[in-house]
Amino acid sequence: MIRSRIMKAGVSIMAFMLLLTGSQMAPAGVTKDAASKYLKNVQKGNPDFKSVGKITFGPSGLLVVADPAKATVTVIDTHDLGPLKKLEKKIPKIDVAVAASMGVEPSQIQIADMAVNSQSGKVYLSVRRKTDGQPAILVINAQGKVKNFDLSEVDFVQVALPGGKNSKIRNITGVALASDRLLAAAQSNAEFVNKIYSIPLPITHGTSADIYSAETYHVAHRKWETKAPIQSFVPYSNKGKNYIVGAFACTPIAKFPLDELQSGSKVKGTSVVELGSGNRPLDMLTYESDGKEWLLTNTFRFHWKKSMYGPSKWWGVRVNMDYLEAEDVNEEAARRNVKQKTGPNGIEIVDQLAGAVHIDKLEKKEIVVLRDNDGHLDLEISQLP
Amino acid sequence: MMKPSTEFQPQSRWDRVLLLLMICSCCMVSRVSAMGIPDMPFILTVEAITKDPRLCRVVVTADESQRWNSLKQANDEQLQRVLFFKLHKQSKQKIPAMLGRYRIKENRLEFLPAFPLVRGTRYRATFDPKPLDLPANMKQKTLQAEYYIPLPDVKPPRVLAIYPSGKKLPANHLKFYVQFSEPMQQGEIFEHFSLFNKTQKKQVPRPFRHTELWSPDGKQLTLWFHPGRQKVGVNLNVELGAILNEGDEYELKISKKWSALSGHTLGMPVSKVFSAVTMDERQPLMEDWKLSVPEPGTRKPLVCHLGEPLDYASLHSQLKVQNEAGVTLAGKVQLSQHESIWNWTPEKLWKPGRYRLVAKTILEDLGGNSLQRPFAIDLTKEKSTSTPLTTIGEFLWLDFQIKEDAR
Repeated sequence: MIRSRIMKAGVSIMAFMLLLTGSQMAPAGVTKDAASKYLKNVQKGNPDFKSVGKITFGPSGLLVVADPAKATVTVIDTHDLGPLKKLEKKIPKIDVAVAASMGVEPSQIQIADMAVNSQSGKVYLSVRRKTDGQPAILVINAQGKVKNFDLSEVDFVQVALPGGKNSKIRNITGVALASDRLLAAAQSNAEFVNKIYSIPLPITHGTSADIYSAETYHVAHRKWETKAPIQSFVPYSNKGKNYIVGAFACTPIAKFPLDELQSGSKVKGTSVVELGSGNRPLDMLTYESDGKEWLLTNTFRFHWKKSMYGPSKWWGVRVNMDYLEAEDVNEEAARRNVKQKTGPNGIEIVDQLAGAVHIDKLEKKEIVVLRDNDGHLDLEISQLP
Repeated sequence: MMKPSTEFQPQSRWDRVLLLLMICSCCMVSRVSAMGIPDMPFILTVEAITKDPRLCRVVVTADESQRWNSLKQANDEQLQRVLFFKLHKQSKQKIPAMLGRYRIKENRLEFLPAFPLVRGTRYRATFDPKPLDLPANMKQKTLQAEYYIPLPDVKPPRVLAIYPSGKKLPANHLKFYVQFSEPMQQGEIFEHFSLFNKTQKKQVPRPFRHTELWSPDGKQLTLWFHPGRQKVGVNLNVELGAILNEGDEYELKISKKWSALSGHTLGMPVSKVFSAVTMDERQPLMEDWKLSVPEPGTRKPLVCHLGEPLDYASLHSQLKVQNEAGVTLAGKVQLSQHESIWNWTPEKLWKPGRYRLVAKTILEDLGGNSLQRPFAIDLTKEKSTSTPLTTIGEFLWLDFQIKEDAR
């Protein structure tokens, strides 16, 4: 088994240890230390989002929010440190409650992303009202009640992705807070260009992410080298080297080296696994089970009428992380057997992700799933295999 | 028992605006009170806070501040049982009310919605005094007030242009730019787009990449064909085939039901008809471009014949003119001949001297082939011959000279 050090944004080692020991996450010092390690020049006020997109939790209640319209990434100290209170039961049709909370009907909202604060168990949603673009961060507590996360007076830092206002970056496909940096993947609205941004800690308000890759490439079918946008990713370390593991729009999973990342440099990914065509990867996380480390991703099959992998066009798969040890341009990248539920060895469809529109890790083998239910969305906790 | 018209007493400038809106647009806003019922000491109103009627607050005014004593320590859920604000059509359903903040100030109980209201939507505020600790002889009648903000009295949105403007596109064409007269509603927009193969008389299934890429002002959408189907050798292309067949005629359609942020729909369908021609897998070459250099002392445009239509957005952002000192000059870009001619008009008069037309190497054609590299590289064929891949941010240029006027 590989000795990888994976960190799903949202679970710091410190937080994880405290959870294991059953400690209350209350001491103010913990927050302060974490905040000062991660954040610099913290502002108090309204981050003034123009839009909200991808969100994820870092340690100690730090919530990372991508604003694609402003091409910024904001880290908010939510001060939401627990104690842990998990969702008590499945909440059916949470989309109806979310829409009503914003004064519209379910068809008039878009839930852009979901993040779970593994310290408090609360589920955070980034939501936009389609009628007028109104953004919101909403919080669902253990009883399934929807609350507004009031953005008018929060502690935050905000960084611009290069170009600022005039930037053509318009789609931030992923954000993650790793142990040593904030990462973002984004796309241009014109050229077929994808960038990986690496922002060292502490994240300083008012700065611009000046370290970024030029473009990302991968090799398809052992033959074609093409540009491709990363849809979702997780930070990953192995043998002292730092990577991100990302899923492309065309569903190969690839890893990209971060250590030599310099502004304007080209980054070539190493294809690891191909999941099958016609899918759009949505979320990605890692977990451990029976001594093995797994990479878990849910995807949306958009050519689902042609072929379905399960009962829903949203489905998910886990990949044994031994596959991530592939070196360089991996012309032998494993291809999931699209005719079978499992295979090749270490690649398995996960039934718990059938219908999973968004997933995020709660703890250990527990995830929170926002699941499609005949056009509505149910919120529940699922146990992973 | 309700006498809104006689009981509405404008107290502020905004109340007067409200009253005007109410009179003008029939049932737009109502203020309900139970004055006249001596034992029902509450008035329920919905007030606009600013000039923007989407920002409002719901107020219950009591005859005395002690009426709110039982609510002083109440949490939001308890307060919500007394006063809540919902979509009109949902007001009797068991679903949550709109989120917001409560405040008790003297004899007023106020609710401030957490988000601006939506135009063209009818809301209802409900005040239920039963949970209050009121004297037994006091009637505990539920009060309701409606609030409606009409759509603004403006013209419907229009599609101003779709680029590329040409009617012949390579079969590996990648993207369109759709320009609107005003910002459109975003989020799950692809149901409004379709592609019809006119030659084969059938819809093209799922041709678009479902990623919304908008300009900052929300008026220009970059609409992509799914690159996975347009890229040779990539899984979708192999398994499902390309989107466009050379020789076929297509119609890109935009639904009339799509709304702008104003709430108004396009009202009429929009379409662009084009034919698919031979795939373009060749990189644009700057040395093939032909420059027409203007005379000094004029503001005539520098004209660059590109030899083929290039990407509309790239032509606006990736080309610039520099003087001998390397300073980028201010000017305006205009495109002609279906984006195959780049015209650049300087802000100031041309002076004699040496200049440079500088292109960022990510400038690309309709098939995504850039100055830097083709859209896809066949590693088995091109290892020895392909141009070494340069990094983004690199530039290519054409030098030109404005000569002294010979006259």
